Amino acid sequence: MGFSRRLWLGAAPAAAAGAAALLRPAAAEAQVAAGSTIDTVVKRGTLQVGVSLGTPPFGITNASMEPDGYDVNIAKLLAQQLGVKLAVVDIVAANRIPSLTTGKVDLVISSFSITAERAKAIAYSNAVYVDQQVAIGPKATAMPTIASLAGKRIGVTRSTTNDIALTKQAPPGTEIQRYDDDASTNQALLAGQVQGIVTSGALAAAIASRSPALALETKFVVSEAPMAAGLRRDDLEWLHWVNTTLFILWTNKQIQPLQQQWMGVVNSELPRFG
Amino acid sequence: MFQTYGVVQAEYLVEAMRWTASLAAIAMLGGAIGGALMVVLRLSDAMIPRAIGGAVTYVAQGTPLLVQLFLAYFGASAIGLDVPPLAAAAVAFTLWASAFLGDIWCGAIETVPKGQREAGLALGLRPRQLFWRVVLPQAVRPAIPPTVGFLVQVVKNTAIASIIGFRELTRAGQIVANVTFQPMPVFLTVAVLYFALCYPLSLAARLLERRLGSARIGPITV
Repeated sequence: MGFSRRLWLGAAPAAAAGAAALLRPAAAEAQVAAGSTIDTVVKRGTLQVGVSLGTPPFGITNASMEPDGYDVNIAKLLAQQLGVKLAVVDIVAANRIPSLTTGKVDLVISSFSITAERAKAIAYSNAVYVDQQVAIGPKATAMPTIASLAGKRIGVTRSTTNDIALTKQAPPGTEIQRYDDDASTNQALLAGQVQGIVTSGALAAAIASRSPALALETKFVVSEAPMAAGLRRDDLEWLHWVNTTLFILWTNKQIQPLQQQWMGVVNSELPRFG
Repeated sequence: MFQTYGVVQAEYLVEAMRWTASLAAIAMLGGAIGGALMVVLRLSDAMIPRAIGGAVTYVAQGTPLLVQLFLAYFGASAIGLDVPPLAAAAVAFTLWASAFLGDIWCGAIETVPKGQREAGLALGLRPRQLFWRVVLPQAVRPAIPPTVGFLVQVVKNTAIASIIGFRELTRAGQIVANVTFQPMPVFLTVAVLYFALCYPLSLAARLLERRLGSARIGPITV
């Protein structure tokens, strides 16, 4: 009994370690052989960037049905600086981290807010935009503060910063309805299935202007969050290149016009880690 | 930035329908081959093939298709294979369809009354002749309705592949709806396009059933 138990206790961590090794992204190992992602990208001649194309104004498809939006244009600038082609990979919000850790993309630029929880799994570049999370709803619905959400049904996109902020701050009795992407969240609001949604400030203005019949308005700011590009954690050279290039693009005033075009506001400064 | 739903957007949806149709066709073809293999395994006299067939069926039916898709897409990456979304979806859907079609066809073969087999044996038919000339013709007809029902499910379930970034009809619908803020016309179009894919399937099945019915092959009910 004692022996078999010891055997079991010994085997369990070994099995767990084996499983962990199996599940560890192979991309990381592949990189050791091929060097940093920056070398892989240059050799490949294509920069693969994960963007959710269902998240206006960050990722959308334009009138000719090509990928467009703020994040896509930031990705274009990065690819230009590197002298490679850009391949936009459409991903849903919940797959941003798996797409990175499994090596499906080189970079995720997809309204990706910096959170301490996510920073355990991936690395963040310096900020590309500082956004607000706001609650919006029809004018007729009284919803002046976060406390007034109690007893109301509020929509939010699953595993986004909006979701994290709402889940943390909502008073007991708030019925949080989670959807898989912003398209569904917006539709729930437009269809009246939820009384309000928590979404990015940039998107809120656009939704309100597009649906005058509902008379939507911004109710209150839930939180404020800088957004950045996401990278694999173990790739410091790549991280350094992305940060350097973002710094150059900002000081050369190439990012500011994009903010003006897509967000309607320009950040006074982009916070940097140092 | 925002657009009005029009011809360009509708064309985009039709384009995406082609991907839905492609994935469904791959799943049906792969599922038919895999399903036949499942039947061979599960009706085998030997224990090991039977156990393998049973295990594959239980695993594929007992786990959500969504999880199978995640494993095929992200799991393949974890063991060092870079699979594009279409390949991952094709593998997951083929496995899934194989298990279900195999199950349907095994069930259909089992509906053929035991007496039919015994009569064939009494007439001196070999096992192979017995299967191809007596059992299979009688199993085809009861197999058609559930098979077609399942194929329609295959078409509609391709929507799940959107979660791994496969740009099929549902994902395209979400993208267009989000940029036009007109969910109603967009998803009505999506529904019509799905219907255009599924209805001919049902229609073909009804024709096939009627033709096989007139040939008077079917299980004898007492």
